[in-house]
Amino acid sequence: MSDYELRKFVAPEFVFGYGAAGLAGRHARNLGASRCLVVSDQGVAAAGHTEAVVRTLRDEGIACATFLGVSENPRDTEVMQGSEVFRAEGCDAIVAVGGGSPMDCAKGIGIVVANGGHVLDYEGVDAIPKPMPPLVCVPTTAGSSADVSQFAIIRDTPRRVKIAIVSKANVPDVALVDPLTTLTKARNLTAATGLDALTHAVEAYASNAHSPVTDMFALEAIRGIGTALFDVLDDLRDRDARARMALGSMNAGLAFSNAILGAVHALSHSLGGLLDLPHGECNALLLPFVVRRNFTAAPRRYRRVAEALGVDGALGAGGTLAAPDDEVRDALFARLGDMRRRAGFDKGLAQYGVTRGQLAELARLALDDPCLSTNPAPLDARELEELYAEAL
Amino acid sequence: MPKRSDDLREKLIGLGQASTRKSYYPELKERLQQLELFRALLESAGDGVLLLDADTLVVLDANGAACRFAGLPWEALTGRPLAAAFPELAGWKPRLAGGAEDAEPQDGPRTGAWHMADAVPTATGEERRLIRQPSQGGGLWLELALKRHDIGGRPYVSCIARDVSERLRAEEELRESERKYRALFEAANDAIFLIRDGLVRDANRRACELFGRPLDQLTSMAPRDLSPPEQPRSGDTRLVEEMRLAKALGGEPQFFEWTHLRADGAPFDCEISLSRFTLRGEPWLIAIIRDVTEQKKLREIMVQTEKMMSVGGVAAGMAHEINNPLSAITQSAQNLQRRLAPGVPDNEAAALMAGVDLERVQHYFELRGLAKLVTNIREACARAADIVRHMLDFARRSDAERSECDLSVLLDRAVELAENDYDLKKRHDFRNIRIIREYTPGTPRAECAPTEIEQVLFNLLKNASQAISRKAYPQREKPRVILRVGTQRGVPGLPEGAGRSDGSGEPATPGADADYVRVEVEDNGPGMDERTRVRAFEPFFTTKPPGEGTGLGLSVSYFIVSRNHGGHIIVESQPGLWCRFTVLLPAVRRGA
Repeated sequence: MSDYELRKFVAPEFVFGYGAAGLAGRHARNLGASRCLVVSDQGVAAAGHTEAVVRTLRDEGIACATFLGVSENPRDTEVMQGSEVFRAEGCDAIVAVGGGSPMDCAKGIGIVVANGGHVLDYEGVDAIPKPMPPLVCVPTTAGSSADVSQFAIIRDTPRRVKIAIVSKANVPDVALVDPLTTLTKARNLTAATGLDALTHAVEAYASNAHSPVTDMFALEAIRGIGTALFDVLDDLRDRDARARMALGSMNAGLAFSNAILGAVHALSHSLGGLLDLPHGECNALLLPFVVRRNFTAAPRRYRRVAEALGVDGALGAGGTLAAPDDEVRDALFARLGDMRRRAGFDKGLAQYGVTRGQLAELARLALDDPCLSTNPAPLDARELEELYAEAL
Repeated sequence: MPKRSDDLREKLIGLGQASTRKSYYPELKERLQQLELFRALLESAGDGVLLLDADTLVVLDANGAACRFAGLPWEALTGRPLAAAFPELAGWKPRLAGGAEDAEPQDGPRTGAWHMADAVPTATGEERRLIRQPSQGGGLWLELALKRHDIGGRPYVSCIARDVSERLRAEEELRESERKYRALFEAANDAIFLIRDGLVRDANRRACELFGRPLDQLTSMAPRDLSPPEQPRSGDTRLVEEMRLAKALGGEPQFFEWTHLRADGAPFDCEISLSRFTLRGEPWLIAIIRDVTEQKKLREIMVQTEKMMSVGGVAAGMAHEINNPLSAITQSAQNLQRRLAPGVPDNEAAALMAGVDLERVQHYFELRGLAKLVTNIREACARAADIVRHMLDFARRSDAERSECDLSVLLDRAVELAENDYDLKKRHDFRNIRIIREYTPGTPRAECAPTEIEQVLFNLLKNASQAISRKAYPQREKPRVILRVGTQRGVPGLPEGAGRSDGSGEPATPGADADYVRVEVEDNGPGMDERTRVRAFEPFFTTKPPGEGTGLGLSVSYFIVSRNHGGHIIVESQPGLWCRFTVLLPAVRRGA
């Protein structure tokens, strides 16, 4: 595989830095908004981020309607409710404030108000005919990277699956990445979203659709997150550590939005859909097993991942003799497991309530996930089930 | 660092107030707003506006007025063919040709344009069609204007539906009003001209008849072109015309007498009323021209009648007064003769007493011619008595016996009388005159006193004969008298087909409803000038040398005809050419 095959890189206009959230009003106005639907959730609203963004909008003379009916793993029903509010309030733009859930829900609302019908009608890749109204994202978790990605993951409640809506039309118009908004995050959420971001970076780097540009963002994200996550967890009030975390997360987002993901996300989406398990924690749990399984399919890639995470002898640079593949693989597996445990997660799938009897069904659903198509190693249902079993 | 540089740097690195990547959304919103505004405008339009697919004529969009005209809600109107909304278009298929040809509709037949039955192609490439659309309130007349448009490479047809019911009604009313006034115009018994800029622009049928010219000839002429250069009463035609037209245009209606010319050059008198009206901002004149020829004749007859009646009354009164002294003279002369006559006992006794020999006295009388003088007195008295008797006749109804007479028989008898008249024979042999008889067969009889009418007709023949004797005939012309007998209907005293000698007119056909029997005596003598003509019937008016006539013949005839018979006697003449007396006597109605 050549580094110079055709690749596209899609990214929103974004502003990164302290106080970026305060630019929401200005950008919304420049995008022609006169009445915004502000999509957020109760937690973010309680932290005061929603109100702060609404204030910047009002300062620009933009009227606002707020929709807070979003839960973790946003549901199709919530999307439809939000689009009703959008129509009823006569809105002409959307501002999402929060983590992956409000942002994905906001994308779903945008799709429905522009195209009509039901949000589940647009499942799949490039299935959105008409562009949505202007969308400004103000992420408050350094993890999901929905603010820069072309992904929207919505939970299909009747089928109990997470569907992926992947489209360039899902890329927001503007992302305002303000590390200060992450200061209020609790430790557990900080850890989960941080490991989610790490998973994004690792899967994007190992993806069979990677490119020199995405590699740059992915490796930088892995290196950044590898140190920043634990600095933040040591001191949740460390602004610069929060900023490095936010930057790492954004870099990971830019990478995976274009290089796409792999088996971890396919398996994780299944768990989130069927059992409504927390996305970041699932990713953290599954990542080591998937990396171990994929390693031989892209050893050079995983060696660089290991190197970026500080695994000794991962690369034969500087005269050091490189360790054999299986050694590096096991060391990487161990490092990822250590990071997870250090972040505070040590439960197996069984402890999340997953039973062995559910594994076949979970695998079957994961097999349909688009993320599986960019996994470096082709995996069948049996192999996916084995992976679940390993994580049990 | 100065503030300005900071601003510049901020902008450059994308943190300025307006530093947002380009988005078409604000522009799009503005356009959408414009569209909404446009939509609102369309909705408020009174005309129906429809957008159709050019190939199927399926309605793609329509405004409120279009829905109202179609009687359908928007949802039912759109998505269906135009004919579903407007049933009168059912079965109508416009043909759309290739778009390329559409671009050049100028030359030749519009092959590229699309065609519709009864549709009117206009210069702008629009197709118009008038349809009647049933609706709750009866029916609407809609004028559809369809036009093809290519929008984004797709052919569409726009259809504007306009409710023209009101307009059509108004037009119909206008046409009706036009018909009404046209009828008034054409049916008028007076000639009417519509004049603008001094020229006749329109004229009614009566005008064409009166002037003897077709409409297209009249409409290029000025009133003065239809008049003699001089007006008998007012002078120069052109000047008077200018003055009258100017005054009328100034808003002062004009009413005046005028002499016009027929196409053949014959003048006729008329009364003209001239008034102004405004048409499309331009001043027009309406001229109503009444032919007063007949009125004038009637007036003349009335004046004549009145004059004759008063003259007749005076004459009769005078005659009556003269009658007594005349009788005294006559009686005295008679007595004078008788009392001189020998052999009468009283005369003999008186002579004896006076010691005079009566025979000697007689002898003396003879020597001095006294007997002759007395005879002269008696004769003069007899003549005067004769005149007086005639004059008395003016005022007296005759009691001569009436009967229903065939006037041609009476006329023939009068001719016979004239031929044998000693007086006529002596001076102007009546037999040398050619008599032409134009008797209309089947002419009804007239009730009259035959002797009186015979006398009238004899007088007329005598008159004609005397007139002829005073004319020196050129080589080719021979003296002649035309005698006509026919009928006449209508207004008494106004001969139909007057001026028959000029070849115009036709004798009235005899009929049960003829009012008059008409007898004409027309000679080709010297004729009468107007002055003579109007006095012809006056008593003692004569053109003959003194002693040759009493000047009573025509007067007597006049009174016989008018007073005794309730008829009319008229004289017409063309000086130098002819003179015609016409006698009209009430006809006996057939079957009556």
